[in-house]
Amino acid sequence: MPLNLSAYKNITSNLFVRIDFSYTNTVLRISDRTATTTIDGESYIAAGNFLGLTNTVSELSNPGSEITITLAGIPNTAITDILNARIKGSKVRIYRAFFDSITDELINTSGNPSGRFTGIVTHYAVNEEYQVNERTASNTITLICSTIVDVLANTTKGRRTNPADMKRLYASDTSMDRVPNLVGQEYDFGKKS
Amino acid sequence: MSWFDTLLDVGAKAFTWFTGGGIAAQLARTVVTGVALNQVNKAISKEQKKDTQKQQDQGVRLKVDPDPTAKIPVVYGRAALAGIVTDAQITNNNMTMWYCITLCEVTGNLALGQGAASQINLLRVYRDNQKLIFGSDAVTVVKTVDHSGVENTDINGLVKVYYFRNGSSSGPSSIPAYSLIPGWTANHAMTNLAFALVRVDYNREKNVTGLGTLRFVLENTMSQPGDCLYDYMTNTRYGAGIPAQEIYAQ
Repeated sequence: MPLNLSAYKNITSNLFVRIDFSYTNTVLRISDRTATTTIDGESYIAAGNFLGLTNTVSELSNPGSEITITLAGIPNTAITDILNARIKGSKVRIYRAFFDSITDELINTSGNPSGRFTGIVTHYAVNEEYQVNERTASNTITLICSTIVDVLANTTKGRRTNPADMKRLYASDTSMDRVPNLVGQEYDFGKKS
Repeated sequence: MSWFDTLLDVGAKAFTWFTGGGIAAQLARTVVTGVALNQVNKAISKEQKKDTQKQQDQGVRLKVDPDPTAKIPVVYGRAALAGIVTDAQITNNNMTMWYCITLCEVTGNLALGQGAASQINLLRVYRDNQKLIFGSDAVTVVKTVDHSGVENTDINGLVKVYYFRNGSSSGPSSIPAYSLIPGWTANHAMTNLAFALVRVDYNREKNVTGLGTLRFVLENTMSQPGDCLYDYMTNTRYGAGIPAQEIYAQ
């Protein structure tokens, strides 16, 4: 649905990132705002400038694009938790919401906030920034996310005609067991023995 | 003198001439003997040829070459498939071949997953571009029809096609697949697969000496675009495996 903001003169926009760590059944909600904000009944932690997002390209055809989320300033103590969260495969949703810059209230109009990106985390990287003088270190986590369209295109599902694929789905089914042995097998059809 | 007496008289004269010592009679005898010998030789040759064929029929060497990397297709709507040979057995003193031909995956439920189970029906089977016509048991091929409508009954009773729309116990009769093809047990379930068992009985005279090139025309009751897309997006066996609750379907 198109978003009509023509009636508003003072507008700011912010990004809201929702990462669903399905493995640990936890959801991380962060935004680049400076105060905690509630969107659709869910509270998004303010990460301010510690949250960065790359631009995405809007295309009519299959965009096949990736987006990178950067989470900076993460203390060493939190790194283990993050790595244990099995980030890969987590579902990511990114919204853009428009606020009245004077009242700092979410503009109440149809289509706000609007969905910007839906996908999953396909890769991630952790970069350490060590402060020698302060004897401290902080980390930056980069999450590389692919759109659902990309995920679908790269999904390798299906069953091949071999025993391994059959047993992966149905352990006791022996229907494909003879396939490897049949390769090159010859039969003297019609030759009376 | 009656006409019969005249006929006897002429015959006697001809015989006397034929058995006489004249050059013409000798030549006539040579020609007749030659023709007779030729006919006898031909008859003997035919019999010998038949015997030789019977004795020397070494059958045909069939090579089964299944592909373990072949991906089992998904059929929505109507499609013609060759299928993938996934088993073969020879029995009956090398005179019968059994083939298991895997056709496609069984799909999910209609009406965006909320309706009845989809069903994959076998519409037609072609062998070497000839349409197979089945008998009353819906299994035994009684004749073939080519693209011009010309029928041929040589194949009658020599080829049987058992179609199973969903696993080994979904065949044309109550007999499961593992009771038909030799070497199979109840564990040969062909779970969630549409497949065919084909029995071929060797007959050189009728030119039935192998499986031939088969083509199965299948029709899935799932053919609505929304149903197909939803099924493919949600199926964890052959699709994208997206949880249903993440899809807004209406």
